[in-house]
Amino acid sequence: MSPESTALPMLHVSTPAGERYETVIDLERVRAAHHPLYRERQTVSADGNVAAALATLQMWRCILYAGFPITPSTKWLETVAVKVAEDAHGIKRVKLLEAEHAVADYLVGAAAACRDLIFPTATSSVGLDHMTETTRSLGASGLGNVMLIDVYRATANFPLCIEGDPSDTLAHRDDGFIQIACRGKQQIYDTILQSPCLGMHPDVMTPTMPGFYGIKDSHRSARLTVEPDHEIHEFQDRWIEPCQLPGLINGDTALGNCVTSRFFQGFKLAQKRRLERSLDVLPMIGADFERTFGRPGLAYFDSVGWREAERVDLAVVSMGPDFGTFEALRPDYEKRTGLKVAGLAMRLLTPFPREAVRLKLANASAVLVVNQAHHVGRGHLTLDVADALSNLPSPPRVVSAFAGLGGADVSEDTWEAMLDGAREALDGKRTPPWRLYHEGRAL
Amino acid sequence: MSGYKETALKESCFRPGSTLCPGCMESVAFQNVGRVSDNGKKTIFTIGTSCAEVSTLAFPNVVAWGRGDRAPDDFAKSFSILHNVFESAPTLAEAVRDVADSLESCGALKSPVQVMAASGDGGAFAIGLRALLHTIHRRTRVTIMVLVNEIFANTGFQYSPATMPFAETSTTPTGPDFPGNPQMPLDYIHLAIAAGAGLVAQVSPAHGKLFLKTVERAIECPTTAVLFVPAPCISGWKFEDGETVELALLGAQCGVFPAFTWERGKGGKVLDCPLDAKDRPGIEEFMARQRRFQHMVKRDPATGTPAIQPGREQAMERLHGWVQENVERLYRLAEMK
Amino acid sequence: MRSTPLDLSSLLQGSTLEMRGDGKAGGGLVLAFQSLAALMMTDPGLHVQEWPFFSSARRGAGIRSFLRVSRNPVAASCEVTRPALSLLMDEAAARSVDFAEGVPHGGTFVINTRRTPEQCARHFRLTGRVLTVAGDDVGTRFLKHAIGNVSAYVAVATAIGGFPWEQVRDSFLASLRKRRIPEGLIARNREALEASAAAVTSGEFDFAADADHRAAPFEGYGALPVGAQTALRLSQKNRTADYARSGFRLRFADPKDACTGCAHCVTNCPEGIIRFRPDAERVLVVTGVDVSTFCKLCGECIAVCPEKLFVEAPYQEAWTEEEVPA
Repeated sequence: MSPESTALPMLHVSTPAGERYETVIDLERVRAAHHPLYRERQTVSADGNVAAALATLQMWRCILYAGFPITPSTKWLETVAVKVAEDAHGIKRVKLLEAEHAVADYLVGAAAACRDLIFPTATSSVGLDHMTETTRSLGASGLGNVMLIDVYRATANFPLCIEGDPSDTLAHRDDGFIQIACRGKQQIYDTILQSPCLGMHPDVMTPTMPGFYGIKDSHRSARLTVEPDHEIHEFQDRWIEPCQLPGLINGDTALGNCVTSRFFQGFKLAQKRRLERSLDVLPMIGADFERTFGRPGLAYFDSVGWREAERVDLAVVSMGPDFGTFEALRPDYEKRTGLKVAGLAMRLLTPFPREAVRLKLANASAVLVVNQAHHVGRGHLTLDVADALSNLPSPPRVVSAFAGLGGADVSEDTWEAMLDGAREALDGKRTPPWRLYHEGRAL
Repeated sequence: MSGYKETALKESCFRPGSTLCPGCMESVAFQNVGRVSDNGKKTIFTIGTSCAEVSTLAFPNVVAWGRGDRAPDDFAKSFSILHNVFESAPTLAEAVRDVADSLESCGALKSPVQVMAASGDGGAFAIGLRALLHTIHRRTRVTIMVLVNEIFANTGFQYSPATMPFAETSTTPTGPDFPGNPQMPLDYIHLAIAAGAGLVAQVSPAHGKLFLKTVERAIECPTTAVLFVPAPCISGWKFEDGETVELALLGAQCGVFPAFTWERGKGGKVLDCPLDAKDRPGIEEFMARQRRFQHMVKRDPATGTPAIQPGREQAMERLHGWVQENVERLYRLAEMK
Repeated sequence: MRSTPLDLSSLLQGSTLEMRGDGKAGGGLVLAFQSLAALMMTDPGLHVQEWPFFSSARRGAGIRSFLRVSRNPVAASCEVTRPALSLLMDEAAARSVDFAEGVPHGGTFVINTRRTPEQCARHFRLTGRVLTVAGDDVGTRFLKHAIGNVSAYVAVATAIGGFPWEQVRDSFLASLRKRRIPEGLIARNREALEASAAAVTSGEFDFAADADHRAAPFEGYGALPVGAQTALRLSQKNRTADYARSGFRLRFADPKDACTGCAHCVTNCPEGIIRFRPDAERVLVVTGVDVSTFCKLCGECIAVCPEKLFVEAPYQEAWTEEEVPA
């Protein structure tokens, strides 16, 4: 057969990244091939992994689910596999790769092949570490259609611990992903629905890493409100438009060039600016989500106990389900001590919303930061908070605590001990650079 | 099947202006694979970090790919290439293949796409052996090319699992107790077959027509086709200008990397390399042309014939033994169906 | 003379002598700079910093080298942008870089060429001292290799001054001995050194205008493509013909229409630059090669053509571009 007889003239558009062929991929066929999981709003019982899995299954743009099992994210992959197997004549497929390195490389190839489809996976801890060379590349790639769900688990060995703390995600901040922490099943589900809208935004074009705590969220069931597929699609389609840059299939293009030191820095600058642009876009998506579904959408943090234009004595900054324990005992602690106590549960970790955190914490006299990831210094969050406060004329004292490493229980007693420790700063006493707490005691 | 000359008339997806060394076999391979792939189907390449990658995909002015002088109106002539990390070419190719197939399955993509992966032996046999074997194991419908120059060339010509015994590399230098590389090379052909490939071949553009035909068969393979391309490296093996193709032929004929083709269910052949050592050219001539073997074989300046260096007789005997084993193993593999 | 020539050896004694070289990978630039560094280090009071600009440049590609010498420990780590001495190792390299860029007026230029200092000073618009030496010829004559590092080393050492000839010569030979080069070859290197010393010519000239040889200011990175993803075919602008060995070009000539259309040259050309026309009987007939833009002179077509229609032809590095006639 001579090439001439199969010649397929097609409209193509020049872009800064090569040529894009407009009509090669008919996305409507992909949308039409989606079989909805839910046709109306429902309440189901789900753990964190199931909530995350359902969210990805409901997206029409997710058709390939690559994964490799690792505790505690295994059930994400299993749930997806079961639902895909149950779906007669569906086009969704699960791809079992031989290692996390392969999963990460697969995501790159798939996301580059078609930039309008979303490619999710879930992993944890050392699984994420295995992916590192590629995740650092993805962060810079412009492939905002990759979503890497991190089910937090203590990273590294000596000793090995398979329970949840955010040391894995915090060790990967410089990969360049937009990192958003979640607590509770609803927030997990909602965050995952919104993340690709942020990552694929044309000004952002950065992959996203939504995450939640292994065990404390991944392995606990609670009520989850799921939305009907078609409403999710309507919401996402408002934000996700066909990518202006070509992919491998619809393009005449080269992805993955190398450069010398003459240019590298310029690319890093551009990458950083795209990441920071997510600070503007995220609240817009969150606001639209709230209007659409009547629940809070993406935000920089959850605020608890703040009063309009009033000072608080003590502000707590932390993240994840253990913050909820603080949330529950806060009113009682206020009553007993007569102090005004408020808190921020961080959600957007990277890029860290410095400005917004500063605005909030400027109203506090002291700040207790509770870190839950091993750090060689005062703690990842402590450094972020200290940096956020650094330009204030009289910044609050920052007291740094560690609790819950490796998923250790953070009891009410432990919270009380940490809060009492922070009160020493209110009393003008010197506090050590950091203290680690367990079972109600500082160690 | 297109003829040898007809293929020369095709438009290659590989272009001049790369920074590959003058006479690099990898560029010859890409030129020809590039022409064979001009067959009415959109071609997508994935490539691992290697000489081939850094020398052909560098911003701002070294992207040596593309059919024709400008982006074509004919979609089938468009071309895309993706590079990620060292070992990733087969996995990237697998992902592209799966996405194309998924899109096709719901009617979202009607134009056929062919996917080819390219790695060096560094990327494929060392760090990338996992990726190579597993993509093959999953019977992925892609063509995997491994450009075998027996070294990690891009990083400065260090030892690789494919390095010939006794070759000097920058990490296996020679010394009084060290006659170059002490390892036997990896049996990559056997591994590819065992992992489940549909087609396995070892052939370089020096075997002109055979190379082109084999590439064509590889592209048509319904599962994984694996093409090992012996790629004499002028800078790493240290030979004279203009000898790349000759050396590739000689190396194949004397048994170091014999031409071999094999298809599952059909069996295979060893070509242009007789089983009996007497019927093959000796490896000394092959070695005498490369300064990476000058500690083993040197050309006698008076007669011009290659002579074994004093003290290396035992090593040469072992090398002859390895070459014979190598040839015999391929003959046995050829009989497997 | 508008400005007095820079006194290199007093720079070396007083502050820091900075040098820069431009050449082709494999053309001897790095060797020359390494030999110069070794010479400097024979003086125990001198500190040295020597390095090539790091890139994945392979044989033939343009490269740059730097050398700082001082009586004080060298702390600076930035590129040398105002060298008092600039070496041009391969004339072809000058087509893509201005080897005189940043050299202050009155600086020293050392050029590996057959042309005279005055010809070079006029062509490159140089103000200062210009030294030339036909280093490739010396290399060919004594070392059977058209590589000019020995002569370049001698010329630069001469330009700097302050080192007695014996020290210049013996330092070079000592480093050869350290690499266990056989005595026969060392003797030929010695002859090459002596011949180089005799072959260096120099002069002082003033041909640069004020605006010449200024580095273009950095105007920002511009709009860089996201993730460094680009269009294809960008290598059209990368003139790899400069990789060809200095002094030679490929020539194709078929006055008797002997081409059989075997297509071996087409199939084996790594750059795919053999030009041909379709032919009813022979399928294709070769008409020429795109020599001036992309031919790296790898020699495969020369080796593979059964009719011997390709040859290597001597070629004076042209200062005005001229295509070798097909």
